[in-house]
Amino acid sequence: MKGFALLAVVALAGCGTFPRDPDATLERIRRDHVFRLGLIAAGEAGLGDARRDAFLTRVARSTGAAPAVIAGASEPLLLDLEAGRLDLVVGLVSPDSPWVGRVAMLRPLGESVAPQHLLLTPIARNGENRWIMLLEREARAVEAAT
Amino acid sequence: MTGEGVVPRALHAPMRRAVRLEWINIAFTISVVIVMGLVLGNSQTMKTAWIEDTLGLIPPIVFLVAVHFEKKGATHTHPFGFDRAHSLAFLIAAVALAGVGLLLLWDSVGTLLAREHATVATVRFLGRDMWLGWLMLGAQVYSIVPPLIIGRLELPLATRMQDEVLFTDAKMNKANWQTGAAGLAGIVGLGLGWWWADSVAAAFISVGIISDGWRALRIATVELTDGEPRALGSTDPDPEAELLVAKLEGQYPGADIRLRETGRYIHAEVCGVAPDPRQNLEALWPGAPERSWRLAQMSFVPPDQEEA
Repeated sequence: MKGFALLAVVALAGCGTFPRDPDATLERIRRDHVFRLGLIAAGEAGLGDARRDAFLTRVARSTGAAPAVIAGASEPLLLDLEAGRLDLVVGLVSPDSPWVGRVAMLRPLGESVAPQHLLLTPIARNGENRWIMLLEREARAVEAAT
Repeated sequence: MTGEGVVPRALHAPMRRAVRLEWINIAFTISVVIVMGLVLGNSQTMKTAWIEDTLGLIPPIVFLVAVHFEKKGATHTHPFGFDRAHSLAFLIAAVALAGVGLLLLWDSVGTLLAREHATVATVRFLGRDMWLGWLMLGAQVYSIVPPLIIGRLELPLATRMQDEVLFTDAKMNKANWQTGAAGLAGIVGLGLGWWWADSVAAAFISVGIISDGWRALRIATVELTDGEPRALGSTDPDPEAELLVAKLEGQYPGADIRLRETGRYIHAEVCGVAPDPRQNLEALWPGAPERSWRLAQMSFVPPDQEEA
């Protein structure tokens, strides 16, 4: 029972900063004013671009950071994201991509159904929960605004 | 014979209570499984806790099935009755308990080795963005309370009824609330950015659960292979049974006294002496009189029929 009491105290004390990022991603972004962004090159240019840009603008505004952009194919970008060399990847991915689970696929900003079902998805590194919270909040805001 | 008629009178009240408790246990466990299922997210620890809660249904179900058969008494096809259904139920419950422990250890060590960082996202709740971890904490707290209370209520009943299935279920409930507590520590840990916290807590707890499960498996195996009666929840010989052996040895010098357990009952065999027709099993029982029902049968094997 003492354990529970201790847990409750720790949980309550941490309310304001809950959850934290294991690798302090959001803290670093706010401190350095930059987030490392990978953009998956889209086969069909223009699909969801407006929403993606609105999302990235919101993320930049709420963190006070500018994106350092790298564009490329999804595989190398997601490998970089998984290894912590990128903070965020945005692009069209299949909902049954083998990367689901390896990285955190967040709330999609849009979708295409033809010729194949793809989701315009912000993708973060697994476990960076505070950073993920911020990204999800901004994705919801974009959704609400459109 | 059906109903409680074949069950000793001293067991009627505790058995009714235990049956009621197990129905409550099943109802609460199902509600916990539903609540946890709603907030699983992609936390592996939560998924494991959910599987464990589901496995927690096994002991109360097998208990109810075993009691149902025990009350049936002897039938044409089962002339010795169904007392041993309890031993079988005990084995199933023991496997479930050991399984829970092994699953927990496997999951926590796997998570640590893979350095898995669990993502716990947000949900829209009452018009606000909320970290799913808060809902997980609520669900975990809810999942802890019923097994904590039910497990404690089961223990005295298990002792009174010499019921290994109920005893194992009490251990299962202990496993479930401890896993819930580890999960709670894990989610708080996740919130603090300590991705390893839940796995370390779970790995520690799994050791105790595996040990309980392993002990239960050994006792169940002893019971099913006609070993000498063991004390409740222990691999040590039952002191009441040892007293009975001593008493029978005094009464029948030179006889070979063999005891075995079928479910909660003891069967005694006195080998190497002529049958003694004047027997009062209640009076023979050397332990507390209210537990004299444990000696269910005594049979004699005359010298010329003794096995080699």
